[in-house]
Amino acid sequence: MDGAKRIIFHIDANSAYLSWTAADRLNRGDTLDLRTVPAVIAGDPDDRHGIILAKSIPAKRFGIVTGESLSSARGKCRELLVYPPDYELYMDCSQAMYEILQEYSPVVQRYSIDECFLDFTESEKRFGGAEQTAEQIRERMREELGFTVNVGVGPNKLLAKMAGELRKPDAAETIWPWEIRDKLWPLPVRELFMVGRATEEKLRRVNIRTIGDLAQTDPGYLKAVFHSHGGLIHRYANGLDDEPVTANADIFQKGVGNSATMRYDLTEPEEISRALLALCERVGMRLRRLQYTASLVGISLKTDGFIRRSHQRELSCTTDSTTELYRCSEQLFFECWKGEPIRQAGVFVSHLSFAGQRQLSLFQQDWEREERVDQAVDCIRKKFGDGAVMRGSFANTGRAPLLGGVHEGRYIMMGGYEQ
Amino acid sequence: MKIVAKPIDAAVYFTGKETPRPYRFRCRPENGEAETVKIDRIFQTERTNIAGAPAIVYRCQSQIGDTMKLYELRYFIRECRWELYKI
Repeated sequence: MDGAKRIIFHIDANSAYLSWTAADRLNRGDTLDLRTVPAVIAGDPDDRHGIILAKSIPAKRFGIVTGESLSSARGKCRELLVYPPDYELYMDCSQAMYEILQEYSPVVQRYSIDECFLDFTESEKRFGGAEQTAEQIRERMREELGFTVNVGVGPNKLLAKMAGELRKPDAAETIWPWEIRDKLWPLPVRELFMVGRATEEKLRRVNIRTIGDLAQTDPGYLKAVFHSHGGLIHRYANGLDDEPVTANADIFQKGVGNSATMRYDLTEPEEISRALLALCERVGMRLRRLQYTASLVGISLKTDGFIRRSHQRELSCTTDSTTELYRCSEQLFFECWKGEPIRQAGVFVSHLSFAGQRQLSLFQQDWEREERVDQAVDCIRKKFGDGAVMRGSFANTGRAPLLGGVHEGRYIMMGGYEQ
Repeated sequence: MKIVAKPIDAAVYFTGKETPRPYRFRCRPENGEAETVKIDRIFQTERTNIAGAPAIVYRCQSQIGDTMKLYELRYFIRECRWELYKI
C-alpha cells in the first residue's frame, strides 16, 4: 500500500434514518417531505426507548441533537414531528446503496448501515476522474434511490471521511494531500476522527483548538500526554492513514454482544436472571451462526440512576452454548450487582476462535448434549421464526424469550456491519 | 398527474423474460362497485428503486367513460403489489 497513490471514497447517507423514512413516505404518496420540516426518528417512549435516532436539518436548527431524549427535543420545538424507526426499510436502503457502489469497485467496505468506503484506485482507468465519478455517484443516489449522500474523496480512508464532512447535505468533496492545509487544518479539533469530548477538553487545556494546531504540535509531546492515541491523532491531523479498505467478508469479528433497556426497572433477582437468559439466547444464537466459540464472557448493567458497570471473565475453555453463557453471565452479574434497580443489562463475549477447534478442560462436563439442543433450537428458529421455541422458564410469564437487537437481531446498528 | 398511490387489483400477463404487462385493473372503492378499466396502451415502463424498494412504473392510457385518461401504474416487485400511482 505504501507509496502507491490510492483513491478512496467515503459515502455517507445524509441523516440516514430520517431521509430513508422521508423517501419511503414520499414514495408511498405522502405529500410532505420530512426533510423540509422539523422532524425526528425516535424510539417509543412507552418502552423507554424514547431517544432521538435521527433528525432533519430544520430540526437541527432548533438545537435538537441525536441521542437526546424525546421529551427534551419536544421542549425545544413544539411542532416537532416524530416517526418510529423502520429497520426493515433501513436494511433495504442500505443494501440498495451498497449495490450501486459495487458497480464502481469490487472493494467496498460497509462501515455501518449508512456509511461505506470504496477503493477507487483500480477503477479510475474504467470510470475516469475521481471527482466526476463522485459527483455521478451522488447524483445517482438522489435520482435512483430518492435520498441524498455525501461523497468524500481522498488518498486514504481518513481524508475521505473528513472530506465527506466538509459540506452537507448532498455534496461531493475532496481532500487531497495538497488541500490539507486549506480544508482540514482550519477545522476545530473536535471534528477530527477519533477526537472525542474528553480528548478535546485535554487538548484545549494546552491551547490546541484546530486540527492545524494539532498537526504542528510535537508528536513526542502528544505521545507523552496521550500515549499511543497521541501518535494516532497526530498522524490523522496530518492526513496520514494507511488502513486498507477491506471487504466485509474479510474482517474477523472480535466480539458479539447484545443489550436491552427494560420496559421497567428490574429489582428481583429472578427477573434479572430471566433477562440475562434471554440475552444469552440471542448472543449464543449469533455466535453459533458465525461459527465461533468464545472464551471471554462479560456483562454490563445500567442502573436507574444511569450508572454503568461491567464485569468480565476469561473462561478456562471455549464455548458457544447458551446454557454455559448464561451460567457465567449470571454469576458475573450477581458478583457486581449491589441491589439497585436495573434499567439496562447486556451480555457480550469475546476472544473468539473458530468452532471446531477447542481447548478441552479436565473438569469440563460433557457439553455434547447441550450442543445438540442448541443446534436443534437454532434450526427450529431459523425455519419457523424466533418465537417458535422457547425455554420453559419463559412460558406464561409474558417476558420476551429473546432480548437484544432490533428486527429479530438481524439488523446492524450504525457502526456495525453484516456478516 | 397527481400521486394517489392507491392499491389496485390487476390482471397481468407474465410472459417469462419480458417485463410483466398489465391488461386491466380495478380500484377498490370504499363504497359502491369497483369499476374495471382496460388498459388501452402502455407508452413506457421504467424500473425504479426509490428507498431501496424495486418497482416498475407503467405509463398508460385508457378510455374511461368519454375521456382518454393518462395515468401511471406501479408494481412493487418484492411485495408483488400493484397500485394506481398517478392519475
